Amino acid sequence: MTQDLRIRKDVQRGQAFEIEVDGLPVVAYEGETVAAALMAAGIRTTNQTARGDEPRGVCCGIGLCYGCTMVIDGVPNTRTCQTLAQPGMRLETQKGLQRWKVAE
Amino acid sequence: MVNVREAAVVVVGGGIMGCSTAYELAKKGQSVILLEKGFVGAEASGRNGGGVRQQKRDPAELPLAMESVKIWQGLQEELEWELEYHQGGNLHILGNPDRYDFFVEQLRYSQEAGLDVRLLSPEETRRLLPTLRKDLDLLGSTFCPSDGNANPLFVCTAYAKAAQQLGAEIREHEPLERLTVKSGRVIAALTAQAEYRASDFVIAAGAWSRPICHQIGLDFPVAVKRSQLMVTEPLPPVFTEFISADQCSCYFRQALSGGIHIGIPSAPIEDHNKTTSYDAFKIAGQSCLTLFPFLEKVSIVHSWAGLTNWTPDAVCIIDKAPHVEGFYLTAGHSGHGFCLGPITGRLLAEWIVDGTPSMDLSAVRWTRFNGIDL
Repeated sequence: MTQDLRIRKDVQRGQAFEIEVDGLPVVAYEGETVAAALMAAGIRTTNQTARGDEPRGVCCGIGLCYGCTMVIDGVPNTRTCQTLAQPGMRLETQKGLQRWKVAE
Repeated sequence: MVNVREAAVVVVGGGIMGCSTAYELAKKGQSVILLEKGFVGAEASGRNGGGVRQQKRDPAELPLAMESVKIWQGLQEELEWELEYHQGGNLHILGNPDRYDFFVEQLRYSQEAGLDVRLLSPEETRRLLPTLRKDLDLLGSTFCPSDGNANPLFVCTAYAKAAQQLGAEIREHEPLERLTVKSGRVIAALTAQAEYRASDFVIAAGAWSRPICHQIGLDFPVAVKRSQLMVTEPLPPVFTEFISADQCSCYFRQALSGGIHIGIPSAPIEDHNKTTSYDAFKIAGQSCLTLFPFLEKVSIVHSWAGLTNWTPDAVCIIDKAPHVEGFYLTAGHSGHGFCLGPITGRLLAEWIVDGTPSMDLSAVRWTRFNGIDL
């Protein structure tokens, strides 16, 4: 089980549920972004660069930098800081450019 | 007390033209000072679509583009810098029957000049670009395999660094204030920091060139236009070609990092306004989908604009001033100067040092605009 770094005192949270990160369960609360849930669980690497396989993670937190992207429910380059966690969501650490269906 | 500096040549403008000129001059052992109002590659040279293209050139520019590509091919090794240059080809999709003959004629004279450029059938075009919209009406395409693209962000810096290593002085954040003319000859360039004296001056200031020429009583007709670019999120390799089309106002190139750079056509602008316009992006986005439906689900992550300067015939100027000695100008690249940067610098250096350039520049002369108003 992953850790929980959330502030405990004086915070009202919504319903707790699980999301799946690289096959492992992570707890998220209603209203949290995926990035918030990941940070609370101590997961800092969301993707690896296409050139050099370097780890990347949340940087700006406001949707600008594209540092925190993951494959969410099969869609690569999804910004975790702009995506609300949903029960049953499946996340994968993005490795490089990943697979896209561009040629129909 | 004015700080006076001396060099053989002063170059004004730190874009690809100015930086390649400074480099080629330094390579020929000349002392060079380059003045740049901002930083190297800050304007159009660092903001363009990155196309290095020979096809669809005016006959006046075609030989220059072909010679320039020869330099591009060895440029990464020469400058010791990864420029992301690759010859992935340039593809123009034909879809307008009224313009078909025009492109076929361009193809004819380009082939005659020795360029490998082909007319592809609709089927051949689709085979090359499987992502093209299935029901797109197309007449075929023109394809030049030796065309390519490079990363504009690196090229000026690479030239400037190489020039510096050969002893050139690159002075950034030092805008030209005025030129001093004495007895029909430019003798000095003045900035807030110093007076730079030289025997020759090269003006390569892009959209800012015309006001500089006005200072010495010369003019050439150029209009400043704003070009905009948007970049998608990184995708796996989709195409290697630089793509344009009759059916779509935008052009496309996929950078090595995966983002597709989508160029939006230039529009005239009164001031030097480099802000981007969301309305233009909305229209361009729609237009892109006529070619590539997959883009509908792809995010735009970045955008910028740059200023280009356009001559009435959309052909550049590489020339000496008609009435003033020691004054060279290269400008008016009309949105397609990036490819010509390497050859322009080399020819100007030859002209200044050896007295004559190794290629015929009569088709890109300044005086062809005599009597033309813009």
